[in-house]
Amino acid sequence: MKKLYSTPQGLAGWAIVLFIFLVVACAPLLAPFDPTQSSVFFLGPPDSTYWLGTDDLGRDTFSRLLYGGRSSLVVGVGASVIALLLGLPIGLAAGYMGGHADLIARQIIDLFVALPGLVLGLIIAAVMGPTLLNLMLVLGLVNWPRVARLARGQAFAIRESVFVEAAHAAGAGTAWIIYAHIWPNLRRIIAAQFALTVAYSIFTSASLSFLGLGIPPPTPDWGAMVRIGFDYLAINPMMSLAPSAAVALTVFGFYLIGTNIE
Amino acid sequence: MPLIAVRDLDVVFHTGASSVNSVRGISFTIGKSEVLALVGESGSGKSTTGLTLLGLHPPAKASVKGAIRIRCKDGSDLDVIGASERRMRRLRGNDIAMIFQEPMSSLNPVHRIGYQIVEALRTHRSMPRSKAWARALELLTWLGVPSPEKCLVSHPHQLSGGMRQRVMIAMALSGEPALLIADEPTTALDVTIQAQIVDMLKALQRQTHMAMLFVSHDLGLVSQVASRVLVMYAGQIVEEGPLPDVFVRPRMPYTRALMRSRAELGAGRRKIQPIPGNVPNLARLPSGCTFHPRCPHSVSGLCDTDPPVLERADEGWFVRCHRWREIDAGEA
Amino acid sequence: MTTSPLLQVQHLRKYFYITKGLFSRVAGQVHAIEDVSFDIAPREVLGLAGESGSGKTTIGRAVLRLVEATSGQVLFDGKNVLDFDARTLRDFRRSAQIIFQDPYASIDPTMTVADVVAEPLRVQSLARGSELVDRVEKLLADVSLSADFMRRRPAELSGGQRQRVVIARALAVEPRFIVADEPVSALDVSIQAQIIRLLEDLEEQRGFSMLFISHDLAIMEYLSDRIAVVYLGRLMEIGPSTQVVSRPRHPYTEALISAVPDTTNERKRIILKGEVPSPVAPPSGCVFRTRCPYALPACSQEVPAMREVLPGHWKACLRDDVP
Repeated sequence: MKKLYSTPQGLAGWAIVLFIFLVVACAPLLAPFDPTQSSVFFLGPPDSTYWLGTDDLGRDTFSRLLYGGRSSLVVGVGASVIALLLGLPIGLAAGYMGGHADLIARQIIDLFVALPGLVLGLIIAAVMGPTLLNLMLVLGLVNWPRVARLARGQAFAIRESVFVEAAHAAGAGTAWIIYAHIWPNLRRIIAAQFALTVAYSIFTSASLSFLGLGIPPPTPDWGAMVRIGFDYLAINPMMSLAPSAAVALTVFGFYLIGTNIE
Repeated sequence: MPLIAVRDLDVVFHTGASSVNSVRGISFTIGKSEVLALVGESGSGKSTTGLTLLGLHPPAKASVKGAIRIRCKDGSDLDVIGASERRMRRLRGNDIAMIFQEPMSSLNPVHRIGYQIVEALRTHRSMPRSKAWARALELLTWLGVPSPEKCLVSHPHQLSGGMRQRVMIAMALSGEPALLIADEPTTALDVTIQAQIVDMLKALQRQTHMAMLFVSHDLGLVSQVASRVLVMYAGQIVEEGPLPDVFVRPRMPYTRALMRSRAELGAGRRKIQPIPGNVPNLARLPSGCTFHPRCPHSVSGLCDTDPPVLERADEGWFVRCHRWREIDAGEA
Repeated sequence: MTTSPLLQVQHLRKYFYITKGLFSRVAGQVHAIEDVSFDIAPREVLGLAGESGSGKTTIGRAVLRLVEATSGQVLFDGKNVLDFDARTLRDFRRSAQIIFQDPYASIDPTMTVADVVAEPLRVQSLARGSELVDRVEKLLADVSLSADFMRRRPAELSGGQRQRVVIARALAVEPRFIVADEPVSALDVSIQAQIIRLLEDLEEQRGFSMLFISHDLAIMEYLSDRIAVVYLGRLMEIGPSTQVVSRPRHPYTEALISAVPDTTNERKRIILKGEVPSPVAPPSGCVFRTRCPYALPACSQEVPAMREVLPGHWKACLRDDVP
């Protein structure tokens, strides 16, 4: 029975991530204000009305935090999933089969690594429009090489190990070896990388928002909130701190899950 | 006046939560030109003893008690336990040198062999580089290294295992020590190379009258090199005596069991008898005699309650066993 | 030989190619195995003795086709293993197994003991479900491990226990032939004795043949019926164990045996000069001649063929008068 968590930390990770997802999904129920509703009380400190204060346009930071999570999480997790779906099989195949397949795979990986993510994002946004889906795709394409390299390295190393030779000696074929030996030894690293990719994607989408593509304002997203809040760090730190903390917590949750999967 | 006199040496390792009493009150001496063997399995404390003689355990990790008195080359007497690090540095290489199982761990892969030997030489004695280089060449030739000039300009990874071991011995000898401690020096080598190295060590010992402490698990090997043996088990000396007598007619049940569990060439159809059970966990030693759970001669009420002491069985022969007399008589 | 041999290795060769440069130009070849031939009868244990670089490990791997031989034949029940297609090869692996040297590297750290022992049975589709569990339990009992080892991980086991698991795994498919590649070299001395006895008892009970590869001649003499001595990829001598050990007919065997330390200090010691030559450029004629105390000029001219000097006892040496 595969366990989704093997330690209390793993369980905590799941708790964190599920909590965040739940809260963010229930944003319409939990948010006291409309996140795009501006007011005259701008840059206000946290008080009984505005729990986390207000931003530069008088909008409630707390509400924006709740709603912002939606787009950020969708992009972050979505991009990571795309990176995983692309990177894992390619990396595995390259690492395990070696030879020509590996050579070709490596060139493709290097090509994608050389592509500047932001530039690519800008181009796609300009050509196809700055939607959530496009953002996810771009970030997925930017991140899959990292996953592929990890998978490839591990597959390569495991392939050479004596216990794989033992499996060969028992008559095992490629499918069994990947299932029984390579994947179990790969799981943790890939899962940890997944968590990191979520973080990276959320912050990169913020940069993209800043440049005009990504989630267009006034729709809140955590990355953009952090960015905009920089300018007001001295006056109203909560604008940046709240979304940063939210991203950090999310990533931490994924990280705990990833590194504690059986 | 022996070269080294060890009395009641006790070493405790502190590893996080627990403490392990690795060496438990051992005493022995090594004479000026004597070759003493220290045998035992893993966990017996033999390697720890060797390292402790050189003060190589960081005080934060190990508490060392007892006395290790060394008669130094300059005539002074030194107790290793409690000596300052500075004093120990003068000792190492000069009075006592050590060679290990894996020569690569003592050799710097980046530097050439010649450089390393020269550095070792100049650490112990100030001499100009050219003289040190000549001496290095001399040492390698004397140790039977083929094409020593080529060896001097090579890097460690370019040499074979046997050559690297010879280089390590050359470096150990550079300070002309009075005692050489060899900790499993040939375990990683092929049998024929091992024979070469052992032969060389014997010739060396004959010429320089250097004392040697040969630490090993290979009983056959130590029989060829040493004149006396200490058998260690769970941190104590359980038998001490002359070679090859101790191995031909061992008195301590552990030594006997050890001999019976080995395959020897030409032994005919004698079935080897493995020692039942496992080496005891040093953190949880059995009561009484530490060997009693595995001993075929163990007697309840005696062996499991009273720890035996080292008794004199013969001239220069000591046994740590309650029943050695009966066992000996049973044989005769 | 009255019964037909189980395994016949004939003129086995394995060269590894060294490539250099941008276009993988072949710069040299390592003569790992050079014209090796031997037979193993059913229920027989053949010891393969040699030092590092002798090629003994490669021979073990090549016989099981874990490494592809360059040329030669390996006949198992009269059929050439080296010609098998994928399916026949898979079936062959049910009859021939291997025990590796390093008990730490040969077990997947992410698997439980039960998984490790069950793997060959699952791969070969020999058992499922509760029958699988039963068989694993029995195999563990055969190597003196209780059933509560099944759920443990390799990291929780000692070296000796791990090696028992490795042996249980090799026995799972009930092979008729096992290659044991230095099965006790990585273990503590007292554990070695336990594993040697285990192998001895299992061999007697189950009647498989074994190719026992080791550098330890004493253990080899103990376990083997016959001993083959390898040097630089070539067979030097092969014959009944006690005979090879007590009266070796080849100079290398003589030196090898004299080098084994013994506690009684009785044997004459022959110290070979020099080191093993590189397998990339083996000496002409007899490969041992560069270190042989009895070498003659003729030894560099021709490669000595294996000659039967006594019934069942062969040597590859030009001289008859030595050792």
